[in-house]
Amino acid sequence: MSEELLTESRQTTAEPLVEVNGLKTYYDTGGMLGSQPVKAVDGVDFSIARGETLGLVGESGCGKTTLGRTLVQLETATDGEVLFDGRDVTTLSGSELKKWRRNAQIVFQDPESSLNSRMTVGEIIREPLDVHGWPNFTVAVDDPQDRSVSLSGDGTLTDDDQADITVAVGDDDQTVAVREGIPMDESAVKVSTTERGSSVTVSLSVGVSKSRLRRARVRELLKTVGLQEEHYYRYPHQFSGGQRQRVGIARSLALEPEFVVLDEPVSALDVSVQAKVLNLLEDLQEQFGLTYLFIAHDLSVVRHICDRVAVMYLGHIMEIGETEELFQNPKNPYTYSLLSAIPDPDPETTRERVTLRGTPPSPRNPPSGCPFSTRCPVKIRPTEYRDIDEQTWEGIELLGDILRNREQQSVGVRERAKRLLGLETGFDDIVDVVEEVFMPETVETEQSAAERSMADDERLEAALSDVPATVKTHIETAVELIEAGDESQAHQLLTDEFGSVCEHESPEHHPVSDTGRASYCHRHRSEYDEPEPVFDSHLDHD
Amino acid sequence: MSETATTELPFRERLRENPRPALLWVGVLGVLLALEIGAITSVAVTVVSGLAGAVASAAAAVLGGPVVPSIGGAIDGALTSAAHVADGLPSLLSRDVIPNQGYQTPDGTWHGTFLGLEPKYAWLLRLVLVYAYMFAFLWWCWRGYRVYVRHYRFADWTPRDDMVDRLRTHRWGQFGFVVVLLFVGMALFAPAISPTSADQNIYHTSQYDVQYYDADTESVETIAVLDANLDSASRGAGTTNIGPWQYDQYDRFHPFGTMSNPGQDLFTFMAYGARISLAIGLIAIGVSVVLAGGFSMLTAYYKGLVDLSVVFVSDSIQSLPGILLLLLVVAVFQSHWLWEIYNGGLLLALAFGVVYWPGLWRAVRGPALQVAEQEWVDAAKSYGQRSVTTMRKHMLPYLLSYLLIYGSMSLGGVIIGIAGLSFLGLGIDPPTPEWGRAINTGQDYVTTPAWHISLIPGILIVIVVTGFNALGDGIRDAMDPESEGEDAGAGATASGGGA
Ligand code: SF4
Repeated sequence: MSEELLTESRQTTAEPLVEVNGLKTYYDTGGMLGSQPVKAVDGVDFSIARGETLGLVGESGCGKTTLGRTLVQLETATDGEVLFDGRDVTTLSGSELKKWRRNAQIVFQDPESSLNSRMTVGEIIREPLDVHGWPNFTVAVDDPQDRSVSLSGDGTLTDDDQADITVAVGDDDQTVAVREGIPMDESAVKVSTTERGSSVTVSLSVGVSKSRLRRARVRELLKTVGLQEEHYYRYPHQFSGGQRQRVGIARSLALEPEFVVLDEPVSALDVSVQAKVLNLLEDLQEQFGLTYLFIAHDLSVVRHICDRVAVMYLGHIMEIGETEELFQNPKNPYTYSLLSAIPDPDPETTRERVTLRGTPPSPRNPPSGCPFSTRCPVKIRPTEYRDIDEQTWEGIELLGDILRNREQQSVGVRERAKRLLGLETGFDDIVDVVEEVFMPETVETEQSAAERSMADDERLEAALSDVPATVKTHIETAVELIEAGDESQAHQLLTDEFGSVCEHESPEHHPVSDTGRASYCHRHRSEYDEPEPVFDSHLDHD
Repeated sequence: MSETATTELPFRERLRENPRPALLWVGVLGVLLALEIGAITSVAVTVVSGLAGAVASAAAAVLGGPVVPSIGGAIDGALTSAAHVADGLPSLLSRDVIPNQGYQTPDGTWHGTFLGLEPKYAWLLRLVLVYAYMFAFLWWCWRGYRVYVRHYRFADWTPRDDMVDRLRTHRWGQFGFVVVLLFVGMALFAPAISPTSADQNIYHTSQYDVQYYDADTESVETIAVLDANLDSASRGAGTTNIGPWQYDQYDRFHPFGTMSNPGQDLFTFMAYGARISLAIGLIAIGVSVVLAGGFSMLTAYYKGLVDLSVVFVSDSIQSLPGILLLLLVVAVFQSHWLWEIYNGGLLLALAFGVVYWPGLWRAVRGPALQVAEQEWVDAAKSYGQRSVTTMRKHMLPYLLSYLLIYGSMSLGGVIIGIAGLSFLGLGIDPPTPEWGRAINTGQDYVTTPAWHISLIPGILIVIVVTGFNALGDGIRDAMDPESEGEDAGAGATASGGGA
C-alpha cells in the first residue's frame, strides 16, 4: 500500500477501534518467600484507530509481547481496561469472550512453534472455523413493507448489515445475496415465503454442507496469503519458514477479524522473505480493512510499515506518535537513545550514538519515579549539583546503579536467607569499586604495586581527589555504611542526596507535537530543559 | 481445477471411485477372519464375560437385594450360550482339527493324532500354523495401511510416515516387536497352542480321561487326567521327572515338561498364564497411562495449583514402597467382593495402575510442559478452542508416543511385579495359572532334574520384559531420531521390578 493511501485511510476513519486505559499485567511467578510479581505491563494508555497500524517497539523484556497478548486476552489484565469498539473486553468471559475472539486475532513470532506439526495445513486453518461453527448463516430479510419477519429452516435472523445471507422479499419472488466472505453461490440457497396478514415467514435452506464451505474457505484463504490450494493436505514440515508464517496469517484471518496483533511476525524469517511477508500484511490490511498492532524490535521494519509507533520501556510507554516524526525527531530521552543506535539514512542530521549504561532493571523490582531513571543519560540533577563535572556525576550514578543491582540480586532466595542469618554478603573491596567508578582510566593502566599496597583510606582519598568537596563527604559516608554492611542504607543516602524528580515522581505523558505525540518524561515540564539540547551538550562535551 | 475436484471428495466417495484395492483387501481379510472365526469369537466372549462378571459382582455388592441375581443369571445364561455358540463355530487351527493326543501301539503307529503323526510333530505343526496365521494376519493389516496410503490418502506425506520408516530399520525395536507378538500370540491363542486345554489339565482334571496303551495288559486303557498328572508329575531327583520335550508314560507330550504336584503340563500352564499376565498388565498400564496422560495435560495446561496438588499426590504415592502398598491391598481386600473378580486379578491390576501412574506421570510431565509452551496451544486459546479439545488435539498427539514408550516399558515391570507377588504366594489364587507361581512351586527343585519348572518361566519372563523394553526403545527412536543411543529406557526398566 502506498504512503498516500495509508494516510488517506487513516484520516477517513479516525475513530478508535481499540482503546487502552491504565492497563497493567502482572505475573505472579509463584516464587517462595513472598517475591514480587513481574510488572510486565505497568499502566499504559493508548488507542488504535480503525485501519491503522500501530507499532510497538522496545528492547526484549520490556513487556511489548505481554501487552499484545493482553489485548487479545491471552493474558489476564491485572488492572485497567481494553475497550474494543467501546466495550471493555477484559471483563468478558465464557461464551461472550469466545464470541468476541473472532474480532481479535494474533499472528505469532515463531512459525515453527505456532503450527501444530501433526495437523495438515488445511486442518490448521480450518480449526478456528470449526470452533466458531462458521458460517453461522446470519440472515437479514429486506422487506419493503416492513412486516414482522420470522425465519424457519437454516440460519438465524439478524439486523446486522454484515449478514451472511440477505433476502429481499419482493411481491412474488425473492432475491438472495450471499456475503462475499462466504464461498457459496446464491443458487445454493432456496428461499420461499409464506405471508400471513402483517407477518411473513421466510423459510430458507442452504444446499451446501458447512464442512464443504469451510474447506472452500480454507482454500480461498490459502490463495489469499499467496499459497496454493493443493497445500491443503500438506504438513507444516513441508514448508519453509516464510510459507509457514503465511499459514499462520491465513489462520488468523479465517474468522474475518477486525484487529490483528502481529507479534514480531517476521523476526524469525530470513531477510529475503521478510519483505515479502510484510508486503503481504500490507496488502491484506488494505483488502480487509484490518487494524494492526505491530510488535517488533527491528526499527527499520517498524518505520516502513507503521502509521504510529509506541516505544516501550519496562512496562511503560515512553513515547507515542506519528512514525516519521518520531523517528526524525525523538523527544523522549529513551527514544532518543534507542534511535541513535540505528544509522540515520539522512546525512544532514548528525545525531550521535548514545550508549546506555548497564541493562534494564528487572520488571519485578522497577525503579521508583521514571522507569528510565537508572540509565537515563540526561536525568535531571538536583539544582545544587547542576555544575558538577561529567565524570564525577557519571561516577555517582554508577555507584548508585551498582548498589541497586546488588539489592536486586539479593532478592534471590539464597542471598535473602544469608541476610536473614546475618551472614556476610558484602563487597570484597568497596575501595576497588570506588576507584574504578571515579577514576576509570587510571585503574587498569597506572595502578602500581605501590599504590595497591596503600592503606584503604589513603586509596579512597586518592580515588576521590578530583571529586568536589560537596560530593566527597557523601561518598565517604556511603562507603562507611557499605563497609559496615549496610548497603541499602548507603543506597538510600545516595538517592536522597543526588536523586531528583526523576526518582521521586512518576512523569506524565506530555504532548510534544501538534500531531498528538506524547512523551513520558519530566524534562518536558517548563521548569526543566528539553532532553534534546541536553543530549547535544553532553555529546559535545565528550 | 481437477485437483480441487478430487480433493473435495470425502473418504467414502474416494472409495466408491476406486473400489478395487479396498475390496480386494477386505475380501482377503474376510477369508482370514473366517478361518479362525471360532477362536476369535471365543476370545471375544471370554473378554465380555469377564467384564460382565465384574459388572455383575459390582452390582451385587453395591445394590444387593433380590433383583440382581436374576439379572446376573440372565446375563450369565446369555454368555454361556454365547460361549457354546463360539465353541460350536469352526476354527481351522484348533486342537480338534489337528489333535496331538493319542496313544502308540507296539507296532509304532500312533492313533488319534493328526494324520497319525507323532504327538510332538502334530503339536509343533499346530503351533507353527497358529503363529504363521497370526503373522499373516498382521502383515495383511499392514498391507491394508499401505493400500490406504497408496490409493486413498490425500496427503502425500505425513509425519507418521517418517516414524514408520525409522521403525522399519530399527532392528532392536523389531526384535522387541516380535517378542511381544509371540507373547501376545501365546496369550490370545492359548487354547490352540497348548498341548492340552486348561480345563482338562488344570481345572477339572477328574472329569476328563486320557487313553493310553498299556504294555502289561496289551490293550488300550483309560485313566483320569487327575491320576495321570499325579503319576507324571516332576518331583526332582529319584522320582518321576518329565523334563522338557519328553513324553510321559501316558503318551502325552510335554514341550516344557510337567510341574510338580499335581503335575500339570507346564506349557499349558504358561500359555494360560500369559493371558493373566497380559490382561493384568494391560489393565494396570491402561489405568496408569490414562491417569498419567490426563494429569500431565491438566498440570501442563493449568499449571499453578493444579500442578502442585498432583505433585503432592504423586509424591505421597511414590514415597510408599510399591510392593508394600500392593501387599496392603491384597491383605485388606482378601475377603472383599472385588477380590473375586478374575481371582483377584482386577484388583491387582487396579492397584498396580495406582502404584505406577506417578512414575509414568513424571516421565511425561516434561514433554507435556514443553508442548503446553508451544505457540499453537496459545493460538488455539486465541480463537477460543475449548481447553479439553486443545489438550486432545494439540497436546495429546505429542504425548501419546511417550506414553506408549513408557507404558510398554512399565508393562514388563507389572508382569514381573505380579509374578513376584504370586511367587510370595499373594498374587493370583491357585489354581488359576500364573507365571510367578510356576517359579514358586519349582524353586525346591532347582538343583534337581526338575529344574525346568522354575527356570523356563523365569527365562520367559526375562525375554518378555526385554521384549517390551526393546519395543519401547524402538518407538522412542522412531519418534525422535536424535535420542538414539541415549539410555532413557534404563530407568524405566530398573524401576519396573515391583518385587
Ligand atoms: S523523567 Fe528523567 S529519567 Fe526519565 S526520561 Fe525524563 S529525564 Fe530521563
